[in-house]
Amino acid sequence: MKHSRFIRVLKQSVPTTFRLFLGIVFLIYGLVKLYPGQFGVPGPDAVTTNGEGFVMAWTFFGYSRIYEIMIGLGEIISALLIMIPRTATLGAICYFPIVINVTMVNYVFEIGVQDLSTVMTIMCMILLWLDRDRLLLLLEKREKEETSL
Amino acid sequence: MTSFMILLLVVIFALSTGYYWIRDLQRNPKQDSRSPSDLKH
Repeated sequence: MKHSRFIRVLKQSVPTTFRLFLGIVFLIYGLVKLYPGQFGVPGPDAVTTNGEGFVMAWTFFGYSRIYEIMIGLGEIISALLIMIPRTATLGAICYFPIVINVTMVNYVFEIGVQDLSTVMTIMCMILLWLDRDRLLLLLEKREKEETSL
Repeated sequence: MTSFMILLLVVIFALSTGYYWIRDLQRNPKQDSRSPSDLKH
């Protein structure tokens, strides 16, 4: 039985929406990390407005400019990979640990954008789930190689 | 989530759904369309 046009279109447009949304958000955050920079030592009033955890995290991440640039580059590369259809699976694999780390930092340091990062993590998990057949093929191939050795 | 992110999500969804809808219409032009003979039953 053939699916209706609506279901058929949604099956394509929802993953595409997730990919482009995740890509654009990470592209914005990654570019901001490169220039002018997202982290740094906050001002003295930041403790009262943003909390102690925020100040500690931002001071830690902003201590090294090279570290900040590396985080930004990781976000930009995974964003580009996830937006290009041919490299979307690889992009989702690269994207997942980064977005999990961002979500954990947001929660444990109480940064304040937990909802956005949680939604992004769920979207990335759904994309990985939709690509599960390809990902399982990687494991299957490795098992075959191991048995042949 | 900020309103900008929600707006971005809605815009991307609308554009991608529109794109795939038009592409599906071009590939399957007769799908979902009923002929008068179907309605007689």
